[in-house]
Amino acid sequence: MTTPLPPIDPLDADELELARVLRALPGGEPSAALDAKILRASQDALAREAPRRRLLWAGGSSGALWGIGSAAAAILAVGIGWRLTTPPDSNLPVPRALPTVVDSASDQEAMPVEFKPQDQARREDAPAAAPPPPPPEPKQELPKRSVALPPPAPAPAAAPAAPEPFPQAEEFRASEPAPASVTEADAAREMDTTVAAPAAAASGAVTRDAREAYSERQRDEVLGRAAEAAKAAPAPVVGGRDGLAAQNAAHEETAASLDKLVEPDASLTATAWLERIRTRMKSGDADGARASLRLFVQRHPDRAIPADLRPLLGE
Amino acid sequence: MPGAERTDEDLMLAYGAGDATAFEELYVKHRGPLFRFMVRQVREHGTAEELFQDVWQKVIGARVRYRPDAKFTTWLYQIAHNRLTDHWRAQSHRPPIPEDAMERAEREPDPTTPERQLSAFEERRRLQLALEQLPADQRETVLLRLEQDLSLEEIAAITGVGRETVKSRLRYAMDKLRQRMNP
Repeated sequence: MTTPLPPIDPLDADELELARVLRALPGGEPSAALDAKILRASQDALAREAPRRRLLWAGGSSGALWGIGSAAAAILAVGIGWRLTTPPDSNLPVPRALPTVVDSASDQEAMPVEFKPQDQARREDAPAAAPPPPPPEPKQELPKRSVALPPPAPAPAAAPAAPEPFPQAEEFRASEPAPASVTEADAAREMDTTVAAPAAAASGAVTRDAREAYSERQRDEVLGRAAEAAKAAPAPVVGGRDGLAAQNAAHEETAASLDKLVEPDASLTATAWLERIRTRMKSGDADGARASLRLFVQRHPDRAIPADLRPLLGE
Repeated sequence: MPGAERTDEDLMLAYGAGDATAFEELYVKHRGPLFRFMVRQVREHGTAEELFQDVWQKVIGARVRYRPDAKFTTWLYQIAHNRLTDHWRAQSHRPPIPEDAMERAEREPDPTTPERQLSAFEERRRLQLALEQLPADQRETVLLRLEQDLSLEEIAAITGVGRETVKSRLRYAMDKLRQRMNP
């Protein structure tokens, strides 16, 4: 959890002197009846929520847990598939050179140890210089190997219902730092382009059906978030450090001018402000609407965002 | 979390996750300062209680959406600030300083204080009057700064203005308070 920083400017001597007098001023306290009323309201709110929570977790055995399990299986499948489509580095000939017997015995241990740095290096290099697309040969192996994956359990028909039961998990993921989700999404996107062809060729393959049925909606969500993050993140380095700095400066300048542009919206009442955001949307000013909504969330943290405006925040 | 004191942010997250005692802990800690903040703004106990209750209702209502992006105190006072703004809007203007404020203050008994020497009581009385005569923005800023011990950045976030504006409001308010405290 992010621990907020303590105040950076403590009271000076003058302020301390006045603060001492101010704190001694009688201010009264809320009545005991009011205290009881508020505390009761806080408990009632939880009590009202309890059946909903139970409902969410009641669906756990058939819904949420299945969904989590399937998600793990899908991620595993994507990860392994990606490795299979990635040709081993030529300076690491060990797996190919070893005799078949040794290969089968040591494959599982050797793979992660030897290929991990290579994969990592490729990911790190990716933004600077795009690696050449993987050669087509390994794609042939994919369907054969992926059959050995643990099946993502029950019938794929249940997949569309899976994401509904855990909105909290969604919220949690949405609050994760952008770079991580971008990397994951990039991997998913890369897999999508390299794996989809052989998978489509092998029509009727059980693995493909199961994976597709589950992952389509999940992937769309991930890609959607990644696209948002990519939009928000600085563009890839093109002109070196200066280019990046210039892009950052331009980005900040645009954001600052947008913030200034929507600042007057803050003088409206909350309801009128939301209407103003809708008007911006209708008039095609999506950036202004988004900036205004961000400011709204900041100024009215207690307000729920209407469903029709949530997409603006990428929710 | 035995042995480790939970922060306000932890408590609010815990309440959002269904822990009722976390809310009680938060409430006990913040009820006094928040209520005084309200009373000093609206100057009337009944109205302060009404607004105070509204603020906590909003905290309760927003429990699931709470994210510890800022200090809980900042978040809480931002809600209070918004509620006060709505209140002033509904009233169409901030009520004027009571005409007899000075007289009422003068009538306050202070038998133990020697003339020309400010007793603690006199100090408090003067400060109260000085506060009442401050413009609303400056008053809110100085209360958040002196009584809630918030940083300029936090006050800026709460009141929705820039840090420099907060700094300027605070400087004017402090000058006026000093003048009235030491005529």
